[in-house]
Amino acid sequence: MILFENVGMRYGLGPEVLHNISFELRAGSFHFLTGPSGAGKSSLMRLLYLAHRPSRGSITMFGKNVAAARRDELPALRRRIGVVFQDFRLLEHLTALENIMLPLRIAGGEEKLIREHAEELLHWVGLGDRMAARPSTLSGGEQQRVAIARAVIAKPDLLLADEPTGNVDSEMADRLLHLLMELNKHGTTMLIATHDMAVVSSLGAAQLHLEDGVLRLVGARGNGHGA
Amino acid sequence: MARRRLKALADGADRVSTRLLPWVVAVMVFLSALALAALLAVHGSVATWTGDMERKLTVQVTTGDSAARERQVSAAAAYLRALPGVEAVHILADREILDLLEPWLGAGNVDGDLPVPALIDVTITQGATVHPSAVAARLKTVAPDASLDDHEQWLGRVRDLAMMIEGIAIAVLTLVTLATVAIVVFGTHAGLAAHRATIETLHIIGAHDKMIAREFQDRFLFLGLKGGLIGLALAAASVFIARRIISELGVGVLGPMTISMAELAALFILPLFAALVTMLTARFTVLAALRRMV
Repeated sequence: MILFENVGMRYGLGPEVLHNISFELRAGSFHFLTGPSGAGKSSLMRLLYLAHRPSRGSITMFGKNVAAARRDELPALRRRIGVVFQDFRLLEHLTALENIMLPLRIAGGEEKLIREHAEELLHWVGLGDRMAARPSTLSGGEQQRVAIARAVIAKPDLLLADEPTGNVDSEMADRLLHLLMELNKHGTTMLIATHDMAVVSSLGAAQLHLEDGVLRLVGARGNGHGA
Repeated sequence: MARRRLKALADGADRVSTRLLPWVVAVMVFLSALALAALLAVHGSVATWTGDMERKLTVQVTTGDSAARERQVSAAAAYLRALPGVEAVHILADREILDLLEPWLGAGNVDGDLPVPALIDVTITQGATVHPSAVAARLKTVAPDASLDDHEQWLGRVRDLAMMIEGIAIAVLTLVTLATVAIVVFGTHAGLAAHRATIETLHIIGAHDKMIAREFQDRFLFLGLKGGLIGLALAAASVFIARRIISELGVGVLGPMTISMAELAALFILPLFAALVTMLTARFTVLAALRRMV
C-alpha cells in the first residue's frame, strides 16, 4: 500500500535530511517509527501525510506515485490518510464535535449523518459529555482523543500518529494505544512515531528506526513487512 | 464539484484582527461616501445654477431720454415676444431694478432719481435654441440703444469654478478609494494571518484549495458587507445632519444641495465594492498561501 524507494528529502536548498529511505507498509500492518530527536521522524511523517514532496526517489501510496502526482490529485489521497499531530492542530474556534466533523464535511455527505457519526465517535473516545467544549478548555489527553477521533472519522486507509502518548499519563497512554490497535484490527494501516521504547516493546509491533536521516533498522515482527 | 460548506470558520469566534476588519471597512466606506456625496451635491447645485441661467437673456436699454427709452423698451419687448422659442418676456418695473441695486449700494442709498437702464428679462423655452448674436443684431434695428446679455461670460466663470471643485472632489474620492482598497487589503491580510493554522489544517486533512478559499471568501464577504453598510449608514446620518444645518442657515448660494434617488443608489455601490475587495483579497491571499504548500 505504501512503498518508499530510495527516497531523499530536503527543505528548500538545504542539506538532505532523509537519505535513501526504502520500505514498504502493507495494508493492515502496524508499525512504530522510532529514533532519537532530529533523526528525521517528523520529516518522514510529512512525506507520508503529503505535506512535502521528496527531492528524489519514488513514493507510491494507494497505487499512485505521489512524487509525480499533480497537485490537484493530492487532496483525494490525503482524505485516505488520518493524521494525529503531536500538537493536535485542532481548530481553536470550533467545538470538539465540529472539529471531528470536519473530515466528513470535506468528503461531503449529509450533515445529519455526519453529526450522528461524530457524536458516536466522541462517545467512543470517552468524551460524550464534552461535545460543545472548545479545545482550549480540554486537557491534553482529551485534546489527544479529539484529534484521534478526527483522524479516524473518515475511516482512513492509513493512520499516522506523531507521539500520540507524549502528552498523557501512562493510564491514558494505554487506553489510546488500545484504541489505535482496535482500529488496526478493523483494517487501518498504522504508523506511530514515538520516543517511548517501553510502548514499542510492550506491543511488539514492527518498527522503522531512523538515525541521522537513514533507516537503520526495520523490525519485521508482527504483521509488518520491511524492505 | 458540489458546493460544500466546511463551516470551519465559526461566526463570532474570529481572532481580534478579523473582528476589527468590519470597522476598518466601515471607516473607509464612511469617508468614501462623504466624498462621493459632496461631489454629487456640488455637481447637482452647479447644474441647477447654470441650467437656470442658460435659459435667461437680459436686454438693457440705456438712454437718458425717458420717452425714447419707453418707446424702445416696448418695441424690443414686442419683438422678443414674437420670437420663436421665447417662453416669457418681463419688463422690470423701476422699483424691481432699484431693489436689485440695493444689495450693492446699501439700503436707503438708492433713490428714485438715480438714472438706471431699463431691463427686460427674457426666459427661453426649455429645449429651444435661440442665437443671441442674431437676436442682438435684429434688436438693434427696433431699439438702437438696446444691448443683449446672454450671461455667457458669468456662466463660463461658474463652469470653470464648478469644474475645479468637481476635479478636487474626484481627486479626493479617488485617493480615498485607493486608500480604502489598500487598508481593506491590509486588514484582510492581517485577519487571514490569524487563520493560517486553520488553512494548513484544512489542507492537510484533504480539502481542495477552492473549497478552503470559498470558506474564507464567504466569511470575509460577510465581514466586508457588514462594515460597508455600517460606514454607509454613518455617512447617511452625517449627510442628513449637514443638510439640516445648511437649510437652517439658509445659505442660498449653496443651492438645494439635493441628491437624487439614482445618486443615492450610486452610494450603495460603495459598500458592495468594499465587500467585493475584501472577498477577492481573502480568496487570492488564501489561494496564494495554499500554492506555497504541496
